[in-house]
Amino acid sequence: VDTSEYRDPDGATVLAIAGEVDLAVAAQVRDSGLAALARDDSAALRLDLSGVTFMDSSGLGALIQLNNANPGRVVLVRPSPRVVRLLELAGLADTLVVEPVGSPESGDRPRGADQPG
Amino acid sequence: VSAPPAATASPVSAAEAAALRVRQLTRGGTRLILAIAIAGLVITVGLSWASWRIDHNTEHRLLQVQTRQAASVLTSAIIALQAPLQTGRDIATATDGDVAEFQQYMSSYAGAKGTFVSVSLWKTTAAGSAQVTVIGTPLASTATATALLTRAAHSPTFVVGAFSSASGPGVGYALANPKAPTYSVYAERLIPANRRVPVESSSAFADLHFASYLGPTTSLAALQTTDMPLSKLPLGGDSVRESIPFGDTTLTLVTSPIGHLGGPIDYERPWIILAGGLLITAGAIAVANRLIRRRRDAERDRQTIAELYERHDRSLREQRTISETLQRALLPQRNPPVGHLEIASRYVAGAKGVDVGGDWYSIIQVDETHFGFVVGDVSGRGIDAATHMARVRFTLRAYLIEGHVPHVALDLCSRQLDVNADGHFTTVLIGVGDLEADTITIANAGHLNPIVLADGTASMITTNVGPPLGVGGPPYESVTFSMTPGSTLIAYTDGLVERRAEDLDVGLRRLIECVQSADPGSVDELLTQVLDRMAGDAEAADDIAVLAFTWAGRAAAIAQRAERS
Repeated sequence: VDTSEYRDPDGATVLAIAGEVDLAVAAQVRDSGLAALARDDSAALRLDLSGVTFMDSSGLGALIQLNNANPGRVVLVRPSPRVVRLLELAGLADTLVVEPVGSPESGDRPRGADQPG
Repeated sequence: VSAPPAATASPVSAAEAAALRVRQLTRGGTRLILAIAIAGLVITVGLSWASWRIDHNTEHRLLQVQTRQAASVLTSAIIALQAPLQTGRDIATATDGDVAEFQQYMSSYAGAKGTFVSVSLWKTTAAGSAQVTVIGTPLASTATATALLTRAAHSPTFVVGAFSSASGPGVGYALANPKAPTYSVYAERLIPANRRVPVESSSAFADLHFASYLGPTTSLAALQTTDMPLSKLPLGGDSVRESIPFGDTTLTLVTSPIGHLGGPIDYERPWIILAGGLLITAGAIAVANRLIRRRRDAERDRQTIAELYERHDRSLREQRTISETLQRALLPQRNPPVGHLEIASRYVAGAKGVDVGGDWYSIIQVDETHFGFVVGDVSGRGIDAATHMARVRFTLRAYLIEGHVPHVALDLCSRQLDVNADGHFTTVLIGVGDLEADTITIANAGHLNPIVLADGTASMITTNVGPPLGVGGPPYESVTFSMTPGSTLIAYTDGLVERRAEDLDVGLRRLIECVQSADPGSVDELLTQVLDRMAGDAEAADDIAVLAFTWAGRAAAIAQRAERS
């Protein structure tokens, strides 16, 4: 798994997670997220999941722990269809805040989304 | 609970093999160093000896060459002795013994500063030999001279004889002419009393010790001249003997080198080779020793690593054994009889790592018409996950026995759990069956939906999936559906369908197809066939728990109750 941080067009910090999120790396993902949340204790943590190719229940557990430890501050951005389906199957679609699928570059953000400039 | 299988060690462990290897290396190293030392010494001494032999041969050859040169110098000197005697004899023969002519010619050769001490002319008649004239003072007796002259009369060359006189040892020379025997010449030379003669540094003898002897023997009596004290004779060591014709006899020249005749490098080479060879041998031994020690250290390290790995493997095996023992203890050894249900279950440990997972299943009779069942999966692995699984399992079991409906049991249980505090979250499919109403009510906490096989058609039951236990969120909801006699419900954990390379939906579709296309004689056989096709491949890395039961029907349930009452 690879984790990296970047700033999105709105200036918010995004933690990008790519690769396979399983038992071996779930703790690493959780700790990266907790560290990012601790750095700025007012801002929301946006997790870019567009690069996730596989996620198992341990990966879900990391996301839930991040979310439950910081209620309302964790947003999942651009999750792959696979991750979206996993959230549905695990009954977490209503628990975790998900920004709709789609990348800013392709311009297919849903109407109503804040577009800079 | 059966005792865990004892961890069996292989007959020769890697650590023991490494220790053996270290011992072998030590032995082999000693042998190698010994071999290098012996080979180095043998080669060095051999080369040194060969070089010495070559130098020795060269020295001997040089000595021979120089001796031959010295001999040719002596030969010239002998000719220089012979020539005036010959001329004097010829003058006397030509002038019929003219004393004045003879004396005039010979005066430059005889006397204290001449070649000879004395030279005399003799006339031989039938009566005998008589001296005609003499130049210088004769040393030897007349008899000595006469004896030599008699020998000379028959000799084609001059004759030589040693004598001793009051002035010291001397050599007499007599020359006649056998064809014209009338006049003959006699001459004498003195030899230094101690036989020693100075040698000029530029002469042919400069590099040589020498001794010359009259005649073929090298006895002290025959010694003519030498550069050595008499006590050091005969010349020892490497010496060369050369015979030079000297009148009717020979002059024997014996030489030995004063120093080294060849270049200095020829002389030093054997020692250079010896010293160099010993140095190289010592260096080779040092290098070999160092390499061997390094190799041995590496072997020791390997031994240490092998030991650590063995210890690690052992502790992993023990850990795995403990985990499996615990998990099997938590799973029912045998499912209890529930009505006329035909029940089958499987637990398959995944190939991933040493830790066991937190998957489980259970089925219990609640009352005469109701039973409960649960299939669940605790996230994470190991003993921690297994104990958490036990906690959830027995909590849910208690609520089921108390008669709670599935979604209430989930709500009550979830309240006691916190994913952040526990470090685990739990997905659960929980259901309650009514044997007389032919219905099943299920609730789902983040788990995969069950499959029902009825009349040859497999389909997935749709539920309102709530979040996993301990996550929090909206209350759980139950759904109720009918079961027809002979239909089968299958509940499972995600290990059965989850593959990294594909979407979960693909795995779910495959499971439905598997269930539908199976041709089992019993529900147990159904699980065998499904597991074979779903988890027979090596990709099944996660643990799998499956529970299945086939519905008997209301008639069977009522009949059973009638039997009991």
